[in-house]
Amino acid sequence: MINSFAVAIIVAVLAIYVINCLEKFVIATFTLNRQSNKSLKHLLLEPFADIIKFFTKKAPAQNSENKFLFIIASIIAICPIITAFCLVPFFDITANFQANRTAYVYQAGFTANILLLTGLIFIPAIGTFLADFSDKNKLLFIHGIQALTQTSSTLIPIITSILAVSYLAGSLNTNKIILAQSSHSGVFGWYFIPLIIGAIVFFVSALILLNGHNFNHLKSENATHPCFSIGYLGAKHLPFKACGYLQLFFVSIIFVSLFFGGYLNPFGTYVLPENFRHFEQIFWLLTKTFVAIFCFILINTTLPKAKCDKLLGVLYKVLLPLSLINSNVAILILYFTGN
Amino acid sequence: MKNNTKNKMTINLTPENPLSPIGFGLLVELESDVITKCTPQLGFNHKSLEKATQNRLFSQYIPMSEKIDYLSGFFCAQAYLSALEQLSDVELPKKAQYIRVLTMELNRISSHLRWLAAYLAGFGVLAPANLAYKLRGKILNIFENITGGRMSHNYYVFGGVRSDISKENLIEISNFKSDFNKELNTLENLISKNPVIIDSSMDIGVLSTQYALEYSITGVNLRASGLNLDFRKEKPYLVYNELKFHTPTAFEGDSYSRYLLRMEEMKISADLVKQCADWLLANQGEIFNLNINPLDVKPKAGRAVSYTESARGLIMCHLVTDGSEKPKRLKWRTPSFYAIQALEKLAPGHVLEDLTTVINSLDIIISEADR
Amino acid sequence: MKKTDTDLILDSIKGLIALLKDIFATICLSFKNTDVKNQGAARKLPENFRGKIELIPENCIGCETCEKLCPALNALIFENTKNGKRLTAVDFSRCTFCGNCAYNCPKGVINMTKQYKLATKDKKDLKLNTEAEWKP
Repeated sequence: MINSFAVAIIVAVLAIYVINCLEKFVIATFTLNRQSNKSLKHLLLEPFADIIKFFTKKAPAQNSENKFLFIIASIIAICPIITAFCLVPFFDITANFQANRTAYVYQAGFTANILLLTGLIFIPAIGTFLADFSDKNKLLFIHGIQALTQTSSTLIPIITSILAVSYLAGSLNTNKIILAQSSHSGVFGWYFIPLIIGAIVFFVSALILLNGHNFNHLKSENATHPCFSIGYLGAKHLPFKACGYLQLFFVSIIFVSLFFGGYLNPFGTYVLPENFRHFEQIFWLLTKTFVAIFCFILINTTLPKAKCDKLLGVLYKVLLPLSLINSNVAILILYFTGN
Repeated sequence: MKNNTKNKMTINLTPENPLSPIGFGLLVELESDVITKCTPQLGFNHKSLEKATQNRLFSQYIPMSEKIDYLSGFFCAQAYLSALEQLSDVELPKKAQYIRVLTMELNRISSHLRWLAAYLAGFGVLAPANLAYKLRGKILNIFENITGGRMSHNYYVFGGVRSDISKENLIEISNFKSDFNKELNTLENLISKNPVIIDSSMDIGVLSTQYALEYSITGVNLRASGLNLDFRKEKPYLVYNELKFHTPTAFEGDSYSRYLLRMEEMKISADLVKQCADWLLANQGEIFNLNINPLDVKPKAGRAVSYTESARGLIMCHLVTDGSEKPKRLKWRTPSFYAIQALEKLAPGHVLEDLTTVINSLDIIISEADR
Repeated sequence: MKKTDTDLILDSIKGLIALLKDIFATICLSFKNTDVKNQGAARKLPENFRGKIELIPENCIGCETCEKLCPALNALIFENTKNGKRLTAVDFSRCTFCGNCAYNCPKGVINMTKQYKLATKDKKDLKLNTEAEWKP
């Protein structure tokens, strides 16, 4: 038990480091701020300097309205989402390989993998709301309520898209969904072709989920307008920053494994021999995930932030009906292919 | 929800609060996310720049007059010197007048670019904001080559300007217009048709002509509401009656029309810059009036008022002298002071998220509102 | 003007198309070189740049023109010698680098150099001649 939690933390730190560097690179290049990534050495070594700065900086005393909520908000934001690393479908665990016995044991108990993974992604939204709730600033409280309604409303289109995929695949297990997309034609067997509407609905809802908060605890500690955090100074804001990156990581993994074939090879057949097949599957999953992360970060930095009432209108009046139409399309496909 | 009385809240946004607008406070009363009452609070940035004139000679005050509005240093210096020159009956040579108009129009462009970067950052688009800052960097380089300083110039003297512009600088300035128009077009293509920005700024902060005249608002904020009042044409000063330009007007009065008007004004100013640079390349003249000693300025006793159309509106300088070498009283009338008061009428009725858009679209600089 | 629900669907489609156009334009813009020439740390400063002040106190004749033109009232530090009042130092915590003194000095005592990196760790270092005392 302890070993796998340690592995989960190490993988989490690596993922956060890589996504941090990628985000800095994308933001600096596409907002025309070339001084920020002067050279590769600056880009890769900067997070270490940040960590040293945060842990040795002397932060002033904080007086928030409610000390218990202040402390527990950061714990709720980070702890549940780290455990989601056990549920990620890195490679095919039902095939007869030597190295996957422990993974099979931990994943075997959860047949409905996808639902647990989406649930774990939405828990940090409660953490950020409690962080806003415990502050003395009334404006932050109003923004916290708005952010909570936005992020929790994105749950409905996401769940209906997942259910539509599960009609076609026949199960809610991530491994089985990915294996149901495998065919000899490679790319054309993946689910983004029949369920294109579902893919678009999921993508747009994920964008709204990741960019919900107006004053972002997630982005940076004391950056300028429009995103800055005032309640948590110094090392205390790091859980929120980490949970933002991990949410991004898991949402793109779900997106890729539902619609784009997870760890499957786009050519249809495997390149490497049988003993090294799990390395190839990890490689394909991570490539597709990082392409999806790149798209999310690019769109979030280049587009302006829409207003809260417009976003809720789009979610409930446009995306929800589209996702129901998507489910109908899935059922019609099942009917016509004779299942 | 019919009974809204339980959702009332009062928020006090003083400048210590990091979520408040920069420099001034607002007392906002909310009723479940909609603003019902808004009271601005001023005075946090008072530097007593008007009292400081009473201890200084006339030429000693010129560098301080530029700090009234740090983004329009040339406009404020021109306002002060114009009042002084009226009292002393001093005539400026033609070349000095053209140089003054050239630098003032360049200053207008750089002030509008700084406003544009702050306005777009309020929406969350960062790439065009950085592009606007880079364009402004080119103009500041031109200022540094001419005057020696980027934002505090000390270039105007009583009776003209301090030094001549060299031939290479003039050629660079006359080529400025074509590059600038190209880059401004790339900016406009990114932003002006973007549906999110149009949605967030159309019909937000509508200022009617009646309220604008009640609150004494001038400049772009007034012209966006329908009244075509430009003090470069009403009371022409320097050589504006010899130059060809027009003043655009809009009729809706919302934030989007103010944004479009400022982009249009930048293009008109670039054209004026080219006209002045072409005249300066073709003609010669003197830089300042030679019969003046900067230490020996003693205008006659009396009053003078000068009108200057700056980037934000009308700057008036009212000077009272009594024949000695120090002024008796100097009063500045600055446009941002009145724009802040107009927030009382503009803010109510909007959602709380629109407050930053409204404030940013009025182009308020707190340094000139509080002096 | 209130928008109906059908407008919302049309707006969403227009919004998606505008999103794709915007992203394409941003990617094209990021490949263009928008850096300004001759800017930043490698900039070649012009001749009339107003940096740190250097004094040649031997040339001073005591006409007090600089004191009458300085807007920061006690930035210039004088000393009473046997010939009269002479300029000896400049207090950089009050100087605004406006250049009034340098432009109008009849004997060329005050010159402005191109040095602009003037940050020090101690307030007492912010003066020109080490003989004059720093007064708060």
